[in-house]
Amino acid sequence: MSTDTTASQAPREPKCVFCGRCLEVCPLFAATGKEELSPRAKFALNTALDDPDHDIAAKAALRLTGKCLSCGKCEKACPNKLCAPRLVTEMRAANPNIRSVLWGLWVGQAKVLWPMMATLSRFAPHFRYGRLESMLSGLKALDAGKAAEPWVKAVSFEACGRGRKAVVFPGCVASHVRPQWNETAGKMLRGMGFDLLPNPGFTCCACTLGHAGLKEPQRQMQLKNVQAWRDAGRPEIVVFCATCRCGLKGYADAELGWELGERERWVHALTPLSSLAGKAVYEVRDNAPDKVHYHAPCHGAGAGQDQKFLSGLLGKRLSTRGKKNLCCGFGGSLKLSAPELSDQVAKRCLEFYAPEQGELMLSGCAGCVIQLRAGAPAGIGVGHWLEIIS
Amino acid sequence: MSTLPHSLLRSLQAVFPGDALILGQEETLTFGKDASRKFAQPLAVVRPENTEQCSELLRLAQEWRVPIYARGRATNVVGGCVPTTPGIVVSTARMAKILDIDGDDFVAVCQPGVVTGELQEAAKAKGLLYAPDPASAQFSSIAGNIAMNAGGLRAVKYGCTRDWVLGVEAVMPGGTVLRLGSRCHKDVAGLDLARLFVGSEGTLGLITEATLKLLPLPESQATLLAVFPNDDQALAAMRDVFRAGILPTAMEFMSGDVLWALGRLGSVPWPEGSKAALLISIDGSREALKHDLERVRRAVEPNAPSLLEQASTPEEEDALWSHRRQVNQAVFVYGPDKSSDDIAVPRGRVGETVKRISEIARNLNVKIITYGHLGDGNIHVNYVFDASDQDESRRIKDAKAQVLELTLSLGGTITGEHGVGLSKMGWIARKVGPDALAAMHAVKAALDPLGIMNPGKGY
Repeated sequence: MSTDTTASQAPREPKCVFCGRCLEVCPLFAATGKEELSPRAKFALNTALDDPDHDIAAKAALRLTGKCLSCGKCEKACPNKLCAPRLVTEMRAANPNIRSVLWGLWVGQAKVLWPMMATLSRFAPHFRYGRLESMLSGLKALDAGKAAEPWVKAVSFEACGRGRKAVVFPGCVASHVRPQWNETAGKMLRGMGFDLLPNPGFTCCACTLGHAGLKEPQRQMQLKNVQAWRDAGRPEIVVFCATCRCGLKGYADAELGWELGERERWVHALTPLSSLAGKAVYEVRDNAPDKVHYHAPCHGAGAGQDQKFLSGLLGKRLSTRGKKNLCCGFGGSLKLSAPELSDQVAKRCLEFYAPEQGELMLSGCAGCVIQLRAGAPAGIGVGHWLEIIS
Repeated sequence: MSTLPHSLLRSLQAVFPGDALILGQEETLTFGKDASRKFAQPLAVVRPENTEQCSELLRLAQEWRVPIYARGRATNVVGGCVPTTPGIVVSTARMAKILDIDGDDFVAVCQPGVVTGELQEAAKAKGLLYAPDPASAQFSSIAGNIAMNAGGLRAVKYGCTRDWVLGVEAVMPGGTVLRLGSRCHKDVAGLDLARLFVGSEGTLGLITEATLKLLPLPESQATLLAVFPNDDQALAAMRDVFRAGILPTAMEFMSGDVLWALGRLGSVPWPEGSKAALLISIDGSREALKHDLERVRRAVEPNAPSLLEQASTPEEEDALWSHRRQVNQAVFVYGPDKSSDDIAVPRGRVGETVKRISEIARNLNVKIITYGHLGDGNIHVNYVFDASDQDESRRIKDAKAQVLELTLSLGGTITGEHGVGLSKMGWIARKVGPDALAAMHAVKAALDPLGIMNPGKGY
């Protein structure tokens, strides 16, 4: 019954076989029941665009395929490892549209826009910002007044950082809205004996620009970050935002004028803060909530360092219950292009965790924190895990 | 009908407000396709949330003679939900709740769009088993499984979907809602119309609820992966397991071609160049399992497997079975196009069948890959080719015809679990004969007199 395999072993370009596995993991489909937003629908539309038998309007197809959270879960589920976010990025790169431009403005000029939006958001109920309104509600949620109260105290550190130079990569949120995250990370690293260098001029990780299909601005930011690292003497880069970590790791796949061996050195230099945070002794105070829900981000969860650290720190207090198609809804450019869909995804996510009054939700991704904090009911704290440490 | 009449459209908008009705060509495009990769553009798509909406839809559809196509996750590979005659696709994505799992009645009640794997998990959490386990369980829907009478990996011991359906709620053309069967495990009152819907391929009515039989969850399960240097040894091992008096929950065969293709998708436990493998699962109490496992090993080992690996934890089990679940997609490594048959033959004819299929492949110089549920005689036959190569396409067509001829000559059937859909329509008359086919048409005409339910499919 076996037939000769040698004749057909030449590699072929994989294509969507419409098996339906992506529907199982797509958070957007799970939250909306809209199959037209599923990964396989995106591949079908893209194929139809090139097929003269289909009378598909390119603009409408782009608008529809652009509704993607860029979570990457479909790629892992797909037997052919097709990636809808990559398809969307490629389609956008070939057909830049206004949504992408807006995102370019938002992230590319974060220094100007983030604080401005955070300020504006306080007055959001009095103004009509159209699609920006939903995004602003996320920023408003990051107001200092809603920060989680610390209830874990680091009492001693293992001197694992002695003789090691490090720099913290703060990312957009800590740079402009939540400087406390950066400060706490710095204190922890100094406590471990690291020679902590000042921020050498890092900008945004540019992950979001990539999702938006803005390849050239993304590359410019990547180049700037790599140069800043070189200028600082190629120290370890300690990262506390999972999405930033994912974005920075992706630099190794880009042509950024790497010197010999430098690409590997870059990847090796990227260190999740949570992988170091376990090397301290902590004291949990009386004001600790009874239950803490951990939300695993879609990007950059890596080897689960955040969850591992928090499990060790919080023990049975931490619930790590998850689901394969769960997402906060912040990713991709959905927050801007279709905020109502993004909100639906967030709502489903919060309903899954079903936190009760006085309980806390923690994540290791700035985007997840923004999104979940904006949608969480009153009395439910949401924060980055750094916020519980004093 | 190339577009829906305005008056009907207005009525549909009233029943399906907001995004529950979609009409744009870009939005509806994906609903015209299933895992057969056949395509036809729908006129509209509706997303009901309850039986009342379905009833109103079928009243309107009957009135306007508009074809209706039920769609779960569209994982069927025979074009079963492709809207070949322009009509309305009914997505069950928003009717996807498990309504009840009752450990006293041993019954589950589900809406049609529930994913089978979710039902299995929910039942398991209560110490219960929903036994049917199609390879697509994690991403196919329960009503789709019912419509196609899905079989799967555990069918050798537990049977197919039909054996687990106690009741069905179905909306009929015109809008009548039938509640068929009951929560009783034994119910012989009247004609068994509930099970008539099993395998009906959406041609009779719209399934809006299913009542399913559950079992106590077996205490433990174990799987053996046995890899062999040739097919004959694998087939002999399979025969010897049955002769040892063991009824496995699953007995799957993978040919050398399949093993090679799976190796291209990711890491596999077997060495490169392996020619045949069996996956054998058994379940039961912990004590009995230990004993039975030893008997399976004793039956397999004389056939000289080159690798014998045992999975005893759920994680190890999942790792072994995940390979099998990916076969359908993995074989695309051999070519961009695939045509599938899922023949079944009497169990005693399996060895002869696979050998003669191999001969057909050699004679016509085509790629035919066989694998599947050899334990119950159900063999998946995949023809992988390049459709742009006209000569190869012609030879594949000849090969398919020869395989189906062979199957019928051995007392087999043209489909063991995938269904007829569009793909096997040319063979159904040969399989069942003219009188049986006329009887099927008479049943259809009685329940769907205007022929609006999934026209052109099944029989």
